[in-house]
Amino acid sequence: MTTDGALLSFARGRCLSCREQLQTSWTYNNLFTWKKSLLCDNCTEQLPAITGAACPECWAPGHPEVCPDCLRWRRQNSAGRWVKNVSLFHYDSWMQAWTTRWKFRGDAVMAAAFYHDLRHAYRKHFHGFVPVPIPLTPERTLERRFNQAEVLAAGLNIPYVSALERATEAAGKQSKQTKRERLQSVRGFTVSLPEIVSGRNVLIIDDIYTTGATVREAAGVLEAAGAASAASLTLIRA
Amino acid sequence: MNKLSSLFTGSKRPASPFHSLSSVSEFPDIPLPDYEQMQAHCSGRALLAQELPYEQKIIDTYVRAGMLQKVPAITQQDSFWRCQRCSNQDPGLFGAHTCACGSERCFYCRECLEMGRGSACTPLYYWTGPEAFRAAAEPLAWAGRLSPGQARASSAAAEAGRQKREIYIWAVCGAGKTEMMFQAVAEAIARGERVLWATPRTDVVRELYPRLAGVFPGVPAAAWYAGSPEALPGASLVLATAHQARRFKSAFDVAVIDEVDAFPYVFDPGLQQAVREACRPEAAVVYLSATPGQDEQRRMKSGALAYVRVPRRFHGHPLPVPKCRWAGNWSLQLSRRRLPNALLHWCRSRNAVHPLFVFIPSVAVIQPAVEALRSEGFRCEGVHAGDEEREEKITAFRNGSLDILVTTTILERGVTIPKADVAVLGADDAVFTESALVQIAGRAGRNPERPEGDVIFFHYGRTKAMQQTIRHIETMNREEAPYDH
Repeated sequence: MTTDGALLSFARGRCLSCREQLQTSWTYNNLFTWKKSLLCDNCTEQLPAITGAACPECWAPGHPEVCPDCLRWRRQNSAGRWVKNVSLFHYDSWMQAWTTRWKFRGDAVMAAAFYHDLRHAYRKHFHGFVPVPIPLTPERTLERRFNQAEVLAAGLNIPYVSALERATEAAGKQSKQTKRERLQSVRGFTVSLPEIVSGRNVLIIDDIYTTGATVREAAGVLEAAGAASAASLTLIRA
Repeated sequence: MNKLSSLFTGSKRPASPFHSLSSVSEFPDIPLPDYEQMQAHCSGRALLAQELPYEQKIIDTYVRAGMLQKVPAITQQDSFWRCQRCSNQDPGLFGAHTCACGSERCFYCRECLEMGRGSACTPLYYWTGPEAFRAAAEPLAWAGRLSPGQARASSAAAEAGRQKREIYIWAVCGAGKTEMMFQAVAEAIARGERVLWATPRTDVVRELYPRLAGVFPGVPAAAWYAGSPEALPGASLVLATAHQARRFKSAFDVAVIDEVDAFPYVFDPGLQQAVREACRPEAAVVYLSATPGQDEQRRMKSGALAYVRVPRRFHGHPLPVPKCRWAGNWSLQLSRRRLPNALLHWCRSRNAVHPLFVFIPSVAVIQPAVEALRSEGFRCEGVHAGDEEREEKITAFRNGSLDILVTTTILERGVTIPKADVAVLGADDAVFTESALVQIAGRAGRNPERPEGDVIFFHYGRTKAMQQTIRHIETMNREEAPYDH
């Protein structure tokens, strides 16, 4: 188990997204909550937060009922103890540029801007769940130097468990695959710490929920290892 | 105010950590594969392993041979971190995370992230082997003739290049600053030296590169700007924006720094440091500007900074003097998606054959201005710094398929449209400082066939900057140019 609150000890005084010098406007909200601002007003304005109706199972925006994709998942795996997915943001062009810089260029601290919202979502939807970040393959870890899901999990400020492991994958980056390829490919997760997850509710942490194939596969593996139920918290719902 | 030149001058110039690296005397005898490509690729640069198109094994061989030096990309001095590539020392521009190297807090630089991430656990490689000698016999292929003022500046710059001194060339907009540099650049290349031509803006690099490549046909040249394709690494003549100059370390013997007073140099000391580190410590530096800052002017007058002043344009005609026209409350009009009548009347009455720049104070008012002009029947587009189609629009404007280009101050310098007129809408806005307005007025009358050109400031009350601009231009026009006749 690891906690990592150290991510934010640097990168102060500038917008975590556009690196402009921060000049926060004094609104009543800022004044009374005394919440440290990490993004500039301009970037805050452009955040594509998910508001309004969303699918209760996968948080797809614009679906007040369970969406067709989730119904298909139900049919495929009727015995699953899937709770739901919760995401913070849409995937629009701003978020895409953000992700490129954060994940592919490797600006890990940018995620810290959303720690507050992630903690809020965790307390609201998943209180008491054990966070389990989605792992990277060993090669990708060496190339990228950090696991983006772990960076997000570290922000929850409760100990997370790296209970999953992932073998080398043959198919290449998921972000370069089609929906069909993603749904059919097998990521090959294994549970390395079954004694910690057995009997517990686990919360899978990942950066983006696109087709749901990754988190559903991880959920299946964790449930097979004895987890009571599985849910997921992702930053982005594409 | 510009501090770049003061960083370069004086005996207290802080020693660059890199220049001592090139003085290695002996190299052990190890077989080195692809020696010449490696030398061309690496010399004068600081590179991450991923920027070297060779296997780690080959890189290690070179390190053992003493040809490449390996240093951590981020180092710690006291409690401060420092990026060895971009000299960033701002704690707000470092990040840390749990790293695959095993460290709980591995630091990386956020400033130069776009060039590939440098972190405390990744090495940077410097070339410490012998430099390639790349002299070209007759590099300059240019048949043009210099005006007397240009010739004077040209020979002064060439002399500074030979003596490895610094010189400031204060020449009005449209004096032909680029041509003044040809002799100095050609001589440097003939001596086998490397030349850096640093400009503040991507547009200027894009415009200048084909011109210089045409004038120096046999010389390996490279253009570096944000989003540029991977340029020739071992080029003798390098055009780069100040940000991209960070790719080079102790590489250049002659630096031409265009538009020293312009935006990035003035506000960002990190960029000044970057340009300084890209040059050798003894490099000759030629500054070019039409509008030196107060500080430079003082140092020139006191004799601390050698300079040449060229008050005439290359065609010998005076600069167009701006005229002021009352436009009323232009910001209110624009918020109602209308243009001030004064501007509309003038647009209708002028000879529409000539292209027209309309400068506006902020990005937000581009759209209403463009729409209002289009409804008048003009072919019109707007450009700003974040515009992805900027290049295409400028090309269209240059070709004459646009009548009017509405722009922010992004095009105030470096862009030449031959017979253009200029209007500044909202010239009383604070973004239009004296130097900005002098540069903007310098967009007009650049062609000898139409040296007059109109420059009109549409305003809602004259500002000091507007008056100083007019005085500045009138002074330049009045100035005796003793060498010119």
